[in-house]
Amino acid sequence: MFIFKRFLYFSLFAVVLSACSTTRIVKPLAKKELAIGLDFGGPLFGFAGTTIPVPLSSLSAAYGVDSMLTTFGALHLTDAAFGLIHLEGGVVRDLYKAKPNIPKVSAGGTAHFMLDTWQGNFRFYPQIDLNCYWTYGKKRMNYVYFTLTNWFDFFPLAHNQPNRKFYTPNLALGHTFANKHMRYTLEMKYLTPGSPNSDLIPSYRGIGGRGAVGIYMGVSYRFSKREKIITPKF
Amino acid sequence: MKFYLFIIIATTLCLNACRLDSNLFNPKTITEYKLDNYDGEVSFKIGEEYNIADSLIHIFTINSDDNGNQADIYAIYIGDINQIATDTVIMYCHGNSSHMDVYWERMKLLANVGGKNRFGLLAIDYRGYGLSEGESTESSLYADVDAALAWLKDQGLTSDRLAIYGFSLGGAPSCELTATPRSLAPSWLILEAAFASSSVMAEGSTSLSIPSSFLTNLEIDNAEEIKEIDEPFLWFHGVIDDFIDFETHGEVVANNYQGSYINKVAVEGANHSDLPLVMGFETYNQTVLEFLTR
Repeated sequence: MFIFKRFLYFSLFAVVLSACSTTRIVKPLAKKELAIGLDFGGPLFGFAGTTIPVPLSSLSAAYGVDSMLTTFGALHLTDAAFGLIHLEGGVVRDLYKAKPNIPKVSAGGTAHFMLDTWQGNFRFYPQIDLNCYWTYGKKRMNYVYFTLTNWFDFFPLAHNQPNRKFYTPNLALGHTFANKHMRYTLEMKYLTPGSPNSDLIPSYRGIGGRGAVGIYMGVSYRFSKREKIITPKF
Repeated sequence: MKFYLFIIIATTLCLNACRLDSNLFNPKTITEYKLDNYDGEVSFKIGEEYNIADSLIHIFTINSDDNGNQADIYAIYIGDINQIATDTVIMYCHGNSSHMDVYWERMKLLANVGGKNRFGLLAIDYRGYGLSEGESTESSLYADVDAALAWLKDQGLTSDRLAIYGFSLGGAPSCELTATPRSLAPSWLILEAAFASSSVMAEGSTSLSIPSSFLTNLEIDNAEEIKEIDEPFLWFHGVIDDFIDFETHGEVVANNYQGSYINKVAVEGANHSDLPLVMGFETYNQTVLEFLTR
């Protein structure tokens, strides 16, 4: 397929811009807590003799409605560089209360809105996430997590062709290190597992010739509500 | 709310610089055309029995004008130029890679349809390809091929003796200039492994129904243009084409054709670049011959 090497960069960016989101909130914030974050990363691919992630990026904000429910929104910066307004907004909620040492499960619903500034084409893609996370550390602020992300696509394809790929799953394994104000997240995704990647150039780093493994990083600053300091009395 | 909307739009407009239009093209510059002596990678080699006499190989330049953006592009005519006024000629529009050396075997094969040099064959390197100067765009692609057709017209070719053959990317100018003729109106259209549209390309590389305008300003749409074409149509596509998908690209183009005659040739076992090889060179040439002489 040497003939079409460069042509297929088209494929790369198409995948990048549409199918792969950056890191997201899996553990709800504290009540009335506000966080502003910057995410960076993408699927790994071979480039100039090495392997690098595609430079996806997004700017996000999140707000803790209560201790179990957080709303968030994001503007995708890389998409913006292509003249594509890509906004997402959603909620994530713990499904149950549990003792700190018990893993928790949260679920998220996200809506992606995409509008290009060239022809005004619009797309809306809903996304449903299921997250499992386990906190650890002195104040149990750090956590590891596993996420199943599901994209849904109900738009018809070009030339009135039937859309048979209305569902796209992605898997993610991540770790967040947090202190009082900062959260640092490193996440590994396995995008579209099961889909052959041999036809795509540059070559994605998948597993067994399928899907694409991605590396994502996120940093966020939390504007915490004032914490009540309890002074022990003697 | 208005403030946030303003920020979002302003950010987008400020960053709005990246498009993937140029990624459609994969040219390679060279210092000379080597033709039979080309030792780079090619999809297949044909036998010596298909060789062309040196006297019937003409390399020359044509001036192409793309809305005032002029460039000298290189062309190769296989055949007797003095007989263009009476011959039937195939205008060959190659794929997106490199230069004409890469497609030389294909060009020679077509120059043997119906016997050696029964049909004249003209091919060009689009801007930026091979020795052609300039840089390709979608509009220059059409301008360059039309410049070649204008050259044929100057040699005495008329539309009723012109066939146009588009391989892969070459399908775009072939469809465009058949649906909307400029210098000449081709009387036969042959497409091999042509893609449906830039939209299908965008969709095919994702799991999503994204429009091509999210990524590129290219408006290539063979699947719609084919509806406007009435000329006889010969369609080739490899069933296991892993680059331009048989079903989502190839069949869409074939099924959208509503003209006077179509011969659909779906080649089992053929990938994107090896269709004549898998089909068999003689069978392939015979299919083209029967189409042009039916």
